[in-house]
Amino acid sequence: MPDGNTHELSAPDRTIEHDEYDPLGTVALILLYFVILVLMWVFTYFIEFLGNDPTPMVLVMA
Amino acid sequence: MSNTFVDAFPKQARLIRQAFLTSFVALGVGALFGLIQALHRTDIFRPIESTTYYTVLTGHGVFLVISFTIFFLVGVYQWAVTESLEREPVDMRFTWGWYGLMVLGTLLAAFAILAGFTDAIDVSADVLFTFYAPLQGHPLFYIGLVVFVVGTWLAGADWFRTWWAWKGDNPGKRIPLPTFMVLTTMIMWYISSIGVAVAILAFILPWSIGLVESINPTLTRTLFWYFGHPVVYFWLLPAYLLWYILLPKLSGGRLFSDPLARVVFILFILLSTPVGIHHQYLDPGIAEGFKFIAMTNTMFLLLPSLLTAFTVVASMEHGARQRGGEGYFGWLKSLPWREPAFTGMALAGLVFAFGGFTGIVNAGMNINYLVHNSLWVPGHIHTQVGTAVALTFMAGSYWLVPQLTGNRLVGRSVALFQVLLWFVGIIFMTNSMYRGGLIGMPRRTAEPQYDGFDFEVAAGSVGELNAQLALGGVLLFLSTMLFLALMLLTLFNHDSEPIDERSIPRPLSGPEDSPPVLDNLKLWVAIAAVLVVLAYSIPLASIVSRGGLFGPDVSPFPVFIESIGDARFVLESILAGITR
Repeated sequence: MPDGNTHELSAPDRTIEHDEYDPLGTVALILLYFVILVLMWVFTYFIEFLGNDPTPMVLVMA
Repeated sequence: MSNTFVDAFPKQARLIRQAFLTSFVALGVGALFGLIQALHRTDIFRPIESTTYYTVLTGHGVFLVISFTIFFLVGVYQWAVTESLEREPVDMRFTWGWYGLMVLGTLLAAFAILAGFTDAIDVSADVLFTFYAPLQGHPLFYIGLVVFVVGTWLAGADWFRTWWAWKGDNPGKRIPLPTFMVLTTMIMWYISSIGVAVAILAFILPWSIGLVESINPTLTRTLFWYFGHPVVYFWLLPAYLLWYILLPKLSGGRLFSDPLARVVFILFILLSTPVGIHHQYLDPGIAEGFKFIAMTNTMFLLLPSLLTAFTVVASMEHGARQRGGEGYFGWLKSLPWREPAFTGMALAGLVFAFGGFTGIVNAGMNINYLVHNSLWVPGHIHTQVGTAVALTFMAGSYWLVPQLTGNRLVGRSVALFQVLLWFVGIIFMTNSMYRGGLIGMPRRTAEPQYDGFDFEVAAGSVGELNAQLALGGVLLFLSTMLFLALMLLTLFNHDSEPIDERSIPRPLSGPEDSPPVLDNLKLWVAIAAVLVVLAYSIPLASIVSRGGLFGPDVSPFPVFIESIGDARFVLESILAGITR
């Protein structure tokens, strides 16, 4: 496989090698995703558990 | 641009074009059926009888999640193996042979399903994609499925054979990443599809022919889900392949890490299969402890998807930075959003990340009870296979089909509109499905409206949910038709050249950075087998010991007899079962 990005589509302006690249934007996006996940779980807890009564307990006398 | 795939491997390009053609025909029929369902169950337009709804539903499921996805898979995998090994199959006749078997199987199953529309032929199979016993379809349906699956097994054997031939010429070399992905997917498929093969060949087919009279529904359901969860990864992994191999290039960058990609595919070999019981949380006859084990394994399955999120996004970011992107979020603006192949895959990934959350809800034993068998579940399916996979396949076709035909893509901006239309359509439809599921709307129901009962909607109304579902369904159908039209026009766009050539840039961190043990496929097969035995041997033994191999005298519910519409017959069989 060739090294660079020789294709016409989305041709890059410059070459960034492995050692000079830190995916900080990726970390930022993933942290954002986890924050959203946590908020959705909190939301689920309020809607599905606090919003409903406890499961009714039925005692069957033998 | 003369350096295209069809220039280098014209015979392979022909086979892959055929596979894609078959796949797209299935997509067109399946999409039409989807439109009918969206309008029918919302009671907006009911051109068919409600009993026929289940014929449509079976066709929608089988044509889209079996024919469309798997024919596309074999096309992409044939491309990946040929491109990365720079080598053709050992015997092309064998290659056409497995393709022919897959087509034959599809035609048999499709005949059995579509014959359900007419009373003139006494054949039908309205058993839905999951064909749970005691629902019974015509034997042709099951025979078709078996022939199709055997075709996929031979396709895998063909790719292994090509790889062995390559290994002979390249001793000691690491398996190229795309071929590694193909081989690991097929190992997972071999391990998991045994379940459905046993379910059909040993139990359901003899029972539908009449060789045996009874069946153990819990056993065949468990064997189905032994296959039924890994099959979702069989749909997903070709999309992953496109995300790892094609998306970095389309973004203007290179794959961030080849070793991480290998780890992800190995995790799918190990964890895809011993999780199927999580589809059976509400099934009686399986002890809670085994369900708990399946849940734990399922939660571990989040790991490869999170690894993928990291690697794929990091590769996209690399492309954006090479294109001059800056900042924590500013780089997103430097991605090639006008390129439909890129935008379609990126949106598919975004929807997948949201659907992942709903998957965690499905996978949790307690919270699953809230959504089980509700409309939430089709919502999840449509964000995952219906968008993460289907939209990636469509977007990937915008790059692949020019490579396979040597023709330039027709209507690039229309293609961009098409992927955006899909994204908008799926948001409307699944938003309605998820919310409908939370208020208890059932799935797989032609007429989910009841007398003397109203669903309690916290915000909005049932009418609003129905309108969103129908609107989403219409937009998705239009988007599919637009895609098919562009593919057809591109096929006949002779005297033009693709704007891109076939090469895939080298990863930033290559296979030399990873331990060779990752390529030891036998080791991963052995560990996967142990996990499967641990997760399944005791539950299966307990199901068989309690109900017997052929069940406690369970009679068929033969949906292939047209007169089943006669409710009296149904009632009589149920009453006969109760009084026996």
